[in-house]
Amino acid sequence: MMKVIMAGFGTVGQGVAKVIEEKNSSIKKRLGEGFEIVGVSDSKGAIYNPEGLNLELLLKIKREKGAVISYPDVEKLKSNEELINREADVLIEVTPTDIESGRAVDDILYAFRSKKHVVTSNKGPLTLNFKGLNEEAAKNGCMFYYTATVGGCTRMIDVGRGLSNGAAIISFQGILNGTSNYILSRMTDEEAPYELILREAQQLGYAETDPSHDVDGIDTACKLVILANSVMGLESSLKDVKIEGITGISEDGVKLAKSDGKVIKLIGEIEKSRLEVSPRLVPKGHFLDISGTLNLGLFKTDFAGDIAIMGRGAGQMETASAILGDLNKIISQTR
Amino acid sequence: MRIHADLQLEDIPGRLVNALAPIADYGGNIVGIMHSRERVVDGRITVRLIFDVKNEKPLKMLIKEWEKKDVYIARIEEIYRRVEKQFLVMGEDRGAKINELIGEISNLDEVNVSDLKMISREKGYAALITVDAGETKTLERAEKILESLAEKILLVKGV
Ligand SMILES: NC(=O)c1ccc[n+]([C@@H]2O[C@H](COP(=O)([O-])OP(=O)(O)OC[C@H]3O[C@@H](n4cnc5c(N)ncnc54)[C@H](OP(=O)(O)O)[C@@H]3O)[C@@H](O)[C@H]2O)c1
Repeated sequence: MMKVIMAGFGTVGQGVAKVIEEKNSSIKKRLGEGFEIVGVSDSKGAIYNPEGLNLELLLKIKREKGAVISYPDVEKLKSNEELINREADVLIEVTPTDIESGRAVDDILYAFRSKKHVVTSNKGPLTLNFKGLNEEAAKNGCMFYYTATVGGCTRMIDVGRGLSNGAAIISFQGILNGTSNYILSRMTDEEAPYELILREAQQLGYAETDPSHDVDGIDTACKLVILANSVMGLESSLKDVKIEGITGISEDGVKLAKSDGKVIKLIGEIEKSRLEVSPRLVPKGHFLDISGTLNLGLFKTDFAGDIAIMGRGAGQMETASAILGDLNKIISQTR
Repeated sequence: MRIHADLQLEDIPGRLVNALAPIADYGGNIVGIMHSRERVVDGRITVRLIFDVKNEKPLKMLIKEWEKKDVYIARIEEIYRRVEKQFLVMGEDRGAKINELIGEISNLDEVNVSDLKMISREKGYAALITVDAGETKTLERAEKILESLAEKILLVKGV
């Protein structure tokens, strides 16, 4: 069994526990080995049991008591660092995205130094120190996968890497933030003002209480940096991205665009070394005219023409499925 | 460059092939072809051709070749293809400056503001500006003017 520890046990972390619980036996059958979660942390502390944790019980305790440290008869730890110090093969890093502090960067670096492979859905560390993390992974002979950070379950990074192996990617355009796409789509459908639709999105759970990262374009910019670096071989960081969000889009602007057969979309664009996030006019029926919370990536290549990939960019099970895909890559490559 | 040519050919088998062959010989690429047997002038039918050719030089040689082959050229001209881009501009005033902005863009050489739709209210304005030009490079100058105002306005460009 491949021993897994997990930092963070919120929406995504719990989703990972659920998919492992559900798919473990079929993975064992297919790849000859399955996973065992031996340690978990949340904001209140960490637990570890080398024999493995009972996932059903772990989910129940988190649901009812709110903290994983309420799990009975296991070693209780104070920090992620202590958890990472314990014996395991893989760290799954699924704590909240933080693009200011380097906490998750340090945890991941520490995992590599203690020879653990890492899978993450957290954009923060990759945006802050893409190169350093990848170099440390290579130095320690560890694998590092982060498929879930861009485009959720669409595997946009994998698709891009696959394409660049046989054709040159000339440019990328994408809709990478479900929240802002939902807001813009609803503003177009209802011809209603931004503030009203934002409130609706918050009530429906499509936007956070503090939606600034989504609507100001920061989230899209982080994803663009990760994509540019991992697929197009750039060495970009957040400060290289020209960013404009959607908060200034007026009801009248949306109306004018609509009357001319256009929709407004928040587009992340990579062309040569230029990275830009900005609202753009898109003709109705264009590849990039997708509505709701969907994500889409459009790669323009030299030999393979235009290739688009679309799907749900977020959600508990969607994200967990991308993480499980990364875990499976590790099993396949270590056998 | 894209060329539109009306050729008058004798209505005899083989004449059309004879007229078309040199286009490829001079590196050209036929985009469209129409001919009408109804309009016979002087025993000749008219063939309308649209083709792309690199520049003036092969075009001149092609015309010479046609003259040699007794092809009458009733009309030949470049189809001026214009590139178009739209900009949606939004601001928080009534948009009084928009006319000035349009003036500035229209004053650029070879740039044309082909359409303007605008909504203006107390709380703000939105203007959808369509600009066209002979080539993308020229259009970029209009884009620069708009971008230089980006501090004061929200500029939404076409994809
Ligand atoms: N949700 C999605 O659809 C989605 C999609 C793609 C990527 N992501 C990314 O995946 C990551 C996790 O997202 P999420 O939706 O699961 O977030 P979440 O629901 O807020 O969960 C975060 C978890 O991390 C824990 N945590 C906070 N600080 C910690 C620390 N210092 N050490 C250990 N654990 C800590 C939290 O503890 P408590 O439970 O005690 O609060 C919580 O369990 C984020 O980086 C997010 O951007 C999410």
